[in-house]
Amino acid sequence: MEVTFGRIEQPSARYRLAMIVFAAMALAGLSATLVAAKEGLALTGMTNRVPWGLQIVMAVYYIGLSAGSLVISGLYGVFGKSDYKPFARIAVYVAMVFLIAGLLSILTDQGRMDRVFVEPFVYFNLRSMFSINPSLYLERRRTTKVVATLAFGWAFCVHSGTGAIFGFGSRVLYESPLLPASFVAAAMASGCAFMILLIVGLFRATRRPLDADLVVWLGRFLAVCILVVVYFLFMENAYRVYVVELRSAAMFYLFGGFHSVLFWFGLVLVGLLVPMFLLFWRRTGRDLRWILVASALVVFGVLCERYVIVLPGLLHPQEILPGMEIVKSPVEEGVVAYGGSIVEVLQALGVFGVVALLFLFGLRTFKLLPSEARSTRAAP
Amino acid sequence: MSDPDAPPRPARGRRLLVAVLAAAVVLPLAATVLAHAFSTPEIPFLERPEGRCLEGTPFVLENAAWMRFHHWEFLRWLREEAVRYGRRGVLTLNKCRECHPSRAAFCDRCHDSTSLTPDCFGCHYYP
Amino acid sequence: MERREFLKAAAGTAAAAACGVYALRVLTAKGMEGLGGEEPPAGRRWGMLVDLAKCREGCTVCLDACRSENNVAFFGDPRIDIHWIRKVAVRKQVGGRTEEKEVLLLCNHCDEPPCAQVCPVQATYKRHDGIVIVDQHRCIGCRYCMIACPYSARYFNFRDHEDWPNREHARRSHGVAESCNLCAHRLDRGRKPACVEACEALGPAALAVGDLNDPGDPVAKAVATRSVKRLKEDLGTRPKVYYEGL
Repeated sequence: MEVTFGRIEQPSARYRLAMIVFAAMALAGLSATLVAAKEGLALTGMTNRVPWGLQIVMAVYYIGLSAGSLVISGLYGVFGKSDYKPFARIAVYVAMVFLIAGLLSILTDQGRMDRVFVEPFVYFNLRSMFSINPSLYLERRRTTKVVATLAFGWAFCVHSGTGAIFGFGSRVLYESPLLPASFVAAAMASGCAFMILLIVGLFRATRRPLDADLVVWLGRFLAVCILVVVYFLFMENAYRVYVVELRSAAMFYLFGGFHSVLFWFGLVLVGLLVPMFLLFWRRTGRDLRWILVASALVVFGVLCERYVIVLPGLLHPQEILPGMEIVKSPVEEGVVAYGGSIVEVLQALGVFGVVALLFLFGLRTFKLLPSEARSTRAAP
Repeated sequence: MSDPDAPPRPARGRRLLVAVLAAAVVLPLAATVLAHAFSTPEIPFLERPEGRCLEGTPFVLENAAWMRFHHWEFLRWLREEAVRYGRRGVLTLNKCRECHPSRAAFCDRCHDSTSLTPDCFGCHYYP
Repeated sequence: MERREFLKAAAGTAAAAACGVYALRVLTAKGMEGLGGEEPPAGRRWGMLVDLAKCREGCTVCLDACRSENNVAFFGDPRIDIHWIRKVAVRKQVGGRTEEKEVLLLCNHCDEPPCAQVCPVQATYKRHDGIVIVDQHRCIGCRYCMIACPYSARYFNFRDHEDWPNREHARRSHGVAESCNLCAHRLDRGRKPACVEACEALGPAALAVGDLNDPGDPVAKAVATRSVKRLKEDLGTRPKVYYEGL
């Protein structure tokens, strides 16, 4: 089957409207970033005890989405599933766009953005995960099968590395060699779910024929990813609850406040169990509408997962003086709270606006959209 | 995955985009090249400047013309010595202030006219 | 294929340029070593001894001295205030009764500093004399060091501050991280850190700083002979701030 690719030649009214909305978001984000760059990060909800906040959550989320999208392109490029060739281009483009989103989120979160383009390149620190990582982000293209495989492996390193930023730290709730692996699993789930939504949305909006079987198969793939995420999540928390040393931290993680709500309802229930049920149950697992619902839930659930990766580890106090209870201190000790400020929210929206603009622009500039997507086999 | 059968007729918006991008790349380059072609830039200090160097360094502190061009290199060296290696002597940024008390007259005048905004004075006191 | 050739050539050039730049950096770094300046005696290793038995209850002299020496920001907001050295009141169960005391907490100047390990630009690093210090000219404000520090001893400049009590010494712009640097600028010139000086002025000092590599140094002697503790020794960070009577 030969697929031809095209671009959007005549932008519709909806396309223009979307451009305007995203441009407004990007502008809001830009102004918030400029204000924060001038006044300082005191405008965000971050504090000395919680030095990473919403922007880092978003960065981690985007980088995961990027990896997951690349997996969809890898279905054809690496595993040779030619049915999925129509999605390969768009998946790679989305992966690139999300990578930009991730880096943009990190960039706008720096205290001295002006130095970001100089110092890291001149004074590269080989011992820092943060430094090793972005260098992995640099080169990823996909032209031949060899390159695609390389890119795939590369992506795997990148996302393990992102997990490692957290996993190899010193905080009780960060310290886990399992984290990079579970990070990649959640990345695949979120990327796959996002691509399902995007592909179906795009094909419908541009009135291109799409075989439902393809999406059903992607849904199964998503279900397997979710299973892996659930497994990692279970092992990690079981370990923490079992080991005496980590038990109080685990209890804080599981039942300690807002993040626990996100964990149980956002991630476990809405983000994993319900979609898994929808995807594995025969009646809903083959229905395009239910697959879309499940995908949307996973996209939301993994966002919650990113939040509970980043924040509880900071909110939970470090035991600076073991065996002693700090009763008075000039700084915040013990369990602290974090609430994102309007500036952070605007920044996050702005980053999304920028990359959504990039995506829409790409649809008009590059030949990303396949003429059609048909399954060559009978339905499984 | 090229597609040979696509018509080679780019959309209008796309042509405009390409033109803008090309201009963004070409114009600054052209401007730089032209500016250099039509000017005779003075290349300072191919010869060794007059005056004694600070001992063990290439910095000719007593030559005002040298300092005018190269004080930033000297200050940066001073900074690395003090901050990175802990070698602090009598020479500091504060020392400059003793003879050149006015930042407006001594620093800003040149920096402003060459539109340079060095990041020193946000943290180092220089009235 | 033309494009492939071009890409190859571009990649080759970039790689060669990168190698060149790094070689140049190494060479110039070598060339710069030992060019004038005051060379500190080799092999020094600064450490601090905190004798909590001598620390006066409610006294904040060292904290104030630090703040006015190093222009440390204070906003009156415990979420973003910066304390290079801070005093906390702790409660401890000792054989069935509760004991209360005050403990001074500051950067521990670890021999294996996690903050320096994670810094992506090597702005935070350990000097040859063991002081862990932030190069404020280089910090990009990523705050990874604050995540990594197991002692919560690092702070971020969330805002600019107006106070500038010590104009001979720099303050910090917003957007960079900082922590105690053991008054490196004073130690380099043969003076004691501001907190130690202020404490000594009051009488028997609770704070002392000394060269741990010098067997004759009072701090090194105390560390070797008396019962001292370091914070969270199990982490393997090997702090150089020693506590007596913790």
